[in-house]
Amino acid sequence: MRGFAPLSRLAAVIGALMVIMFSRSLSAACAGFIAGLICLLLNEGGRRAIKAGAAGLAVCAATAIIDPLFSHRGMTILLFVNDRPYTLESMLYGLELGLSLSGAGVWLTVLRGLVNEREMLGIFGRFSPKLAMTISMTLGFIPRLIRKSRRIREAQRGAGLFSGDSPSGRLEEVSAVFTACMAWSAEAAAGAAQSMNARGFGTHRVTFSDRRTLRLKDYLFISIVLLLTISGLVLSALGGATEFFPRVSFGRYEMAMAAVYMAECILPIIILAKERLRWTLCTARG
Amino acid sequence: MKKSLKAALFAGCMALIAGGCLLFGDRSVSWLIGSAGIAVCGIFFARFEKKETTSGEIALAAVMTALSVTGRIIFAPLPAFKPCAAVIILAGIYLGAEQGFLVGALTALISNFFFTQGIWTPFQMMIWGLTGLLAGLIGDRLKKNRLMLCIFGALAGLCYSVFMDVCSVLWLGGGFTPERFLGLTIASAWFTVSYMVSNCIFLLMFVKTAERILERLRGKYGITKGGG
Amino acid sequence: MDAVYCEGLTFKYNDAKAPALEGIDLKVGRGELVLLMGRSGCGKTTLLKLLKPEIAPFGELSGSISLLGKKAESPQPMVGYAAQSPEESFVSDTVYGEIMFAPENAGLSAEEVRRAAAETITRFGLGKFLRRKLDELSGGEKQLVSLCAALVMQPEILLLDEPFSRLDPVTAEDISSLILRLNREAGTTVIIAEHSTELLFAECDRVIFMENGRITANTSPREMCGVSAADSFLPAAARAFLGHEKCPLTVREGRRLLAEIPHAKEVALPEARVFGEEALRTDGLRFALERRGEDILDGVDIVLHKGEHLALIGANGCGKTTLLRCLAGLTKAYSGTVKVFGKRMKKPAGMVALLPQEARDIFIQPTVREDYIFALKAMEKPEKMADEMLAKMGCEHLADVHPYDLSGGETQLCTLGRVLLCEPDILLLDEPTKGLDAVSRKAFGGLIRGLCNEGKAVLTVTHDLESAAELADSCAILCGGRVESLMPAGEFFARAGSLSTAAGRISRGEVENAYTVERLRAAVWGAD
Repeated sequence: MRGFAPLSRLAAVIGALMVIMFSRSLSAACAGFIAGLICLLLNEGGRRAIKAGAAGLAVCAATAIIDPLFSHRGMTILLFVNDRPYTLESMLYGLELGLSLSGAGVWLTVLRGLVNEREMLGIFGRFSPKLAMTISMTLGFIPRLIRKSRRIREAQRGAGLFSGDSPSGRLEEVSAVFTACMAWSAEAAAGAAQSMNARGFGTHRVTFSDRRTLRLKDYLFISIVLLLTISGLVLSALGGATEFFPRVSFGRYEMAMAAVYMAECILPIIILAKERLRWTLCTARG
Repeated sequence: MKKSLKAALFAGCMALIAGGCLLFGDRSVSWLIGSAGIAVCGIFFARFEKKETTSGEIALAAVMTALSVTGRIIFAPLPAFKPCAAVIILAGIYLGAEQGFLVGALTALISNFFFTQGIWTPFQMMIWGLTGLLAGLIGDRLKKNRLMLCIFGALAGLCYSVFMDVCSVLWLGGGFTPERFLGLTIASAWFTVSYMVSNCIFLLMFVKTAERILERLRGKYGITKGGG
Repeated sequence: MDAVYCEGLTFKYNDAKAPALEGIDLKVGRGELVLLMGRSGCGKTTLLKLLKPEIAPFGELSGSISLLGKKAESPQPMVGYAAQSPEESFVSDTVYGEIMFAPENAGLSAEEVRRAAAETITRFGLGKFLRRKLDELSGGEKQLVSLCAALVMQPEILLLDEPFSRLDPVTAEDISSLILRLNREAGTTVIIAEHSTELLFAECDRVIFMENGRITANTSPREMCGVSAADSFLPAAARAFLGHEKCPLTVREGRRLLAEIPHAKEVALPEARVFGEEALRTDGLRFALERRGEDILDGVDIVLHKGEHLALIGANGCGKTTLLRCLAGLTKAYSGTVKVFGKRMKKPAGMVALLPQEARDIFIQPTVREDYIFALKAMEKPEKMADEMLAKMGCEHLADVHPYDLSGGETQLCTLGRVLLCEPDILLLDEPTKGLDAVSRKAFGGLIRGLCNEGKAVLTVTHDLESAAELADSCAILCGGRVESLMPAGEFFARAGSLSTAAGRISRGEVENAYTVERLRAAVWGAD
């Protein structure tokens, strides 16, 4: 979806996340989970998708098995555990929970593939340039600090300190290194502050310029996603949620909501699939 | 005009949160917590954006955040034994309450770039941010008294662990039931204790260093807490 | 209208006893290229920072500074400043972010910001690593980015604080030619503070020599040769012919002069020193980062004796640091052996010690003495050794200084002392002369010679040919992970071709074995 602005990509994922987390509907959770996996497959390849899918199913199985142990509502009793009923409804409830949890996880993985840190900063920067600046500065400091800590550690070892391998010696070493890192980072902060001043920080408001302009298709895309998300949530609140107790029954508007939600999830799938296809065809041609 | 706009915005947000609470049935609490996290962070970030900040404050906040994230990465092999909270508390004490919040919230956000971003991120941002904020508010007392500092660190560890448990219980199940909460708390008791102990250890270990470092910065580069 | 005009400038840091700058009168015309020389700590950096009001240090200031005809006041966007170490002045995580920082803070619209950045990027060829993380760049690329970040707003005056001293010779030449081009083609006024003067010395319009916060000489490069205080800071060619009426500034001029004047045809090679027993021997050391990865060390064989100082000369990325890490036991080679006094080494057990490239990495505590004591405690050695070691290094006066406040030379000495606390028999030095001025380099060289005489074995890896020629007993080239032509230093440099010292290049074909300035002087002026 690189043809769309990062904000559109973020909106697509956040929309899908909102519905899957708050709709409380078995069909929507299932649809969202599968759609997330398809997005992952299209964007990052089969291996990641299979991994995420397996992890998600494990979570679903776990919640589906564990939930009935705590919750004993429901009519269809499957067996008794410690003289307490173990019901199908609770199991399905657990399944829905697991699907919505792991679906959210899958969509967050999709988000990582669709919007990288830099683009995320671009989105933040639109609203809060100063915050974006602080974050990008932090992101610059982190690898330097990690490398510094490794160098400090080696410098100590090279000078004959901490050659033992005992746990207490290790702890001493790690904390000594961290102390030295603190001292270094204070100097680094002072250096960075000077450098900021030298380059005119504080004389004007910060402009954040590393951002994509929104095109017509982005506006269209975002409004569609917004509309579908809101209608999905409203439908769910009006009676789209699955009723689990005493017996499982689909909500009044559940099918309508699921359809709306599927439309929302299919939107990024279509775009991703189209891009994938184009790449395949283009590379095949030349 | 501007005031009314602000009021309208505020009312709108409140309505959204309240609406969510009403609509989402047994997931309303999760909605409430998530939106509270986002709202609290949003308010602080907006304040930060508006405030006049010196380059020194920004650089120090960035470097402290980097330090606590790096701590989380360096100490990654040891579960729940992390200097993050200690660094955040020290940032709160020595850089001031708002900086403390910023460091806490950004630590949660950025370290999750490196680990996994999850639905708990806003919540974690809020908790760590509030830890830094609180440390900043009672910073003068904590500076003087090592015992208080230790207790504060332990409490921060306890609260972090318990609140994260609450969060998990709320996500994990049809509403909040005491027995589930108890079960999870017991299951994570080891983590809780470890958070508390590690906070104390790291605070005691680093408090003197932090003090000397900050003093040095003030003397040499004129970088001071709040405004200056 | 002058670019910079200072009159009676005196500056004292808040907590200092003596002023850092005293009675500075300085006039720099528009478009001039000015070199500011002097020992580290003589006030060069302070003066540069005062010329950029935004980062002027805190303290008492008297006298006047005017920039481009106006009284110096913050903000001063017409002055660009690039700090000493680019690493410490980075404020973003990517090259693009770094370049955009200045325009983003200049109150421009997003379009203008992007335009300014795009122009700079295109002009200075940053396009290929635009989106790279700053952390992944090489030293030279970092210096380039830091320079460009100062140039985005097209300053009239560019202040550079030691732009070359941390770079290897090849990269330093690139950066220096870029600076020269800026001065000649864009007419930018450039003021460079630097103590290594081989580069750009002859091209400068003026050279200013500073001592203890005062300007003691302010002349053309040619006349600087007559200033006796500045002797050791001059380029090699000038040092070799110092006292001659037509003092040459470059190797080319030196060669021309040497052909005209009478001189000896040969200088005797130094006598080969006799060393003690074998201290360190490596046999076919091979190292790679991963199993299928490329070999960084490709069969290294070294022999080092007690009392010997071996210098391995290599460019960046030839495996220098990796070799030292293997020898110090910080990492393991996948094949080959390291023998210390005939025994296979398993752990770094205090026999071998390593002086790290970034010397400051070694300090943990906030003063030098506290740090020594901390190290002694960790090694379970008596605390009184700390003061003994400080005395031995001649650093007693630095005992209570914060390690980050030490100058380059002082840092190197204190670090050496800290490393020697573990009483090693073999000392490994990683680029020990990087960033040192001539005087500190001499002092450091003297200490190392003393250690060799005590019977310690010293192994240096460096790209600094001059100091290798002056200090080492044996030399070799480390290239492509292999050690080539390991032999006594005299023979090594006498036979050197492209990898020759400046004195060696001047004397090539004229005087045999004159590979250091002292030897060349002996040939020219007779044995004095």
